[in-house]
Amino acid sequence: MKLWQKIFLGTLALMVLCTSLLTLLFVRESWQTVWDEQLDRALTQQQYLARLIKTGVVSTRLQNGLMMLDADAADAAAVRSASSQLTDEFLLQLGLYRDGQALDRPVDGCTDAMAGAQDAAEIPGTLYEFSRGEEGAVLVCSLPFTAEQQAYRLVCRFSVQAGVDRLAGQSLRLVAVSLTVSLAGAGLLVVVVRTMLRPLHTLSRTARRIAGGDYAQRLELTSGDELAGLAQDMNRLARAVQQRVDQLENTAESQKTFTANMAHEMKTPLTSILGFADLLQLQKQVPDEQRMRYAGIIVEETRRLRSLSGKLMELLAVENRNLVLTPVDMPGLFKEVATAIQPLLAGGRLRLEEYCQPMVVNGDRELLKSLLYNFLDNARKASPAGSRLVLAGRPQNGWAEICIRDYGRGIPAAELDKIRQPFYMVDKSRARKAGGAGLGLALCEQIVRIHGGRYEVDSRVGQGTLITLYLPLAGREERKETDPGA
Amino acid sequence: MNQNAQQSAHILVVEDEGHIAQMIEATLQLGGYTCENCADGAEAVEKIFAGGYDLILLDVMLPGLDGFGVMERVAGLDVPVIFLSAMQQVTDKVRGLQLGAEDYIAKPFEALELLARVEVALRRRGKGNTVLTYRDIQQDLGSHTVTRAGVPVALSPKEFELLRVFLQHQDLALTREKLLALVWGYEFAGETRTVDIHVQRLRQKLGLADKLVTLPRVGYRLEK
Repeated sequence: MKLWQKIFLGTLALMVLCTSLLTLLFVRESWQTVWDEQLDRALTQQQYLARLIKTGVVSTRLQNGLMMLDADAADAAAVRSASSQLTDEFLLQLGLYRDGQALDRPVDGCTDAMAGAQDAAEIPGTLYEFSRGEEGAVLVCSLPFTAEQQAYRLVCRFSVQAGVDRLAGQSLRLVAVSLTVSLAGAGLLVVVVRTMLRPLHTLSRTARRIAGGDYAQRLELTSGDELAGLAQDMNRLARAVQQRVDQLENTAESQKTFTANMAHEMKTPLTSILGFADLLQLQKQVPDEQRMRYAGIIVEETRRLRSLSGKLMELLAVENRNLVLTPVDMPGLFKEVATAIQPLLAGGRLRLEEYCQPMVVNGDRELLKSLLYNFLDNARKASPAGSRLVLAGRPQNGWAEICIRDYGRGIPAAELDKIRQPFYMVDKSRARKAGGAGLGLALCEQIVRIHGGRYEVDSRVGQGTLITLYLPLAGREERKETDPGA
Repeated sequence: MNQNAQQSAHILVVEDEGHIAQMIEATLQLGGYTCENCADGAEAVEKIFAGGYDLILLDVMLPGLDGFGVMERVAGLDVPVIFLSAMQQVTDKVRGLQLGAEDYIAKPFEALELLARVEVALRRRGKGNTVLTYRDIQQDLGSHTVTRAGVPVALSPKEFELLRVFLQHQDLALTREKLLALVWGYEFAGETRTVDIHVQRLRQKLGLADKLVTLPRVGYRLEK
C-alpha cells in the first residue's frame, strides 16, 4: 500500500471515529431536550385538563346551589367534565381514577400505581411512564388533584411519536453530515499529503536514474524539510559514487592507454625486423649494400626492443618490489650515481657538477639510485656535446630538495603536461636514436610516488630543463604538515 | 627484376616510422610496384587529392592527423586504401573498414602477406595483372585458364592458385609455410606435405622440373 493511501485511510478512520462520537453526544443531548419538551407539554396540558375538570365539578355544585357535593355527585360531575374534553393526535385518551378504580373507561397502559390503588396520600405528585406500542411511542401520565375534598387522579395517554420521528430525522441528518465532513476532511488531507509527498517522486526518479548509471544526476529540493535533507544526502551519495567511478574509469583508461602504447612500441620495431629479415630470406641475391643496410636496421630495431623490455622490467620490478625503507645517505648516493653515469657522459663530453649537503632520506637505495640515474640520463640525452649538468641537493623544511639541471634543448610548454605519460616522447625519432623507450619518467614517477615525494619540471626551449625533486627526509614524521617548497 | 613491373601500379605509403617505410618500399619494389613515401597525415591528404596513385597504404598512428582522419577526408575519392596498424582491437579494424578501406593489415606483417593483400586490392579495382606470363606459360586470372605454348593445361583450383603465387613471385624463395598460408589459408599450417604434392604436379603438367627448384630446408623458388 502506498504511503498516501495509508495516510488517507488512517485519517479517514480517525475522522469517522471523532465525528461519530460527537454525533452520539449531540443526539443524546437533543434526545434529552425533545424528551423534556414532550414531557413538559404533556404535563402542562394535563394540569390544564385537571383544572378544567375541577372547574366543571365546582360549577356543577354552584348550579345545584349546594354547599357540598357528595362523593357520587362529585364523581359524576368530574366524569362528565372529563368526557367533554376533546382528544386529538397528541392527547390520545384520558380518564379519571379514584382510589385505584377507573370512574369511567380505563386508560390503556395505566398501572395500579398510577391509578392510585394504594393510599393516595402515600403516592404524591405526578407519575409518568414511557412505552412503545402499536400506536408508536406513548407517554402515560398520572396527575393527582382534589375536587370537593375527593382525591382523584387524572390519567392521560399522549402520543410522542412525532417527537421521536423528529429526533430520528435529526440524527440521520447528523450522521450524514458527519460522514460527509469526514470524507471531505480526509480528501482534503490526501491532496495536501500528496502535494507534500510529491518531492518523494522526484527523489525516487532521480535515485533510479543514478542507479541506472547516470551519476551526474543531482536533486534540487528547496522545501527545507526532511525531504530536502534527504535529497542533499542523496546528492552526497551520488557525488561519492561518481568520484569513485571516475577514479576507476581513469585507472582503467590509463591502463588501456598503457597497454595500447606498449603494443605499438613493441610492434613498431617488430614490423621492421620481420619485414627486413623476410626480404633478406625471400630474395635470391641481395646486393651487399642492401644486405648491410637491412641487417643494420634489424640490429638497431632489436636494440630498441631490448631497451624497451629492460625499462618495462624495471617498471614491473618497481611495482612489485617489496619496499624496505632504510636511511639513505644522500651525499654518498650522489657520488655513486655520478660514478655510474660517468661513462655515458664521457661519450658526449658532458660535465657533471654534483654537490649535496648532508642529509638522510628514508628509502630504497637501489630505487633512489635508479631515479637519479634516469633523471640524469634524460638530461644527458637533451644536452648538446660539451655542455654541463648539475645535480644538487639540500634539506628544506623536512624535505630533501634535489635539483637536476641541464642546459639542453628544453621541452616545449605544450608538451610539459604530457611528458609524464608512459611512452610519451617529445621527439620520437631523436629519442629512439638515443635509445629511449619513453618510459624513463614513468619509472621516475613510480619511484617518487612510492617514496611519498613529488617532482616538478621547469623547462625553457633552448635554455634547458630543471627538475626539482622532493623526498621526505628521515625523521620528518613530527613535522608532516610542512609543504615542500613552501 | 620482375615482369609485373611492366604493368606497375603506383602506391602511396603513409608511414611515419622511417624503417617501416623503407621496408614497405623495398617489399613493394619486389612486387614490381613503384611507390612514394609520406610521413604526415595532412601532407598525405594533399598528395592523394593531387591524384596519380593506384593504392594508398595508410598507417593509423600518425603525428597530427591520424590515419582515420586521412581516410575520412579522402573517402570520396575512388582510391583503394589499405590500413596498416599496430592496434589490433577489432573496433579499430571495423572502424577502418567502415570508413571505406579496402583492407586492414596488422603490424607486424610478412613481406609476402603485404604483397598478396596489395595484389588482391588492386585486382578488385581492375588494376592488377590479370594475365601472368612465364616463358611459354600464360595464366589468365580472369578466365581461369592456363596455356602452355598455346595449348590449354587442365589444373585443379589449388594447383591454379599455387601457379599464380609462383608466377607472381618469380625468383623469390617461398617457404612451404608461406605457400600454405597464401594458397590454402592459415588454418592449414603444418600440412607442408600437401605443398610438396601440388608442386610435384605443377612440375609435371607444365614441364617446370628444372625451373621450379627445391631449396633444401626452405621451400621452392621459380627461377627466371
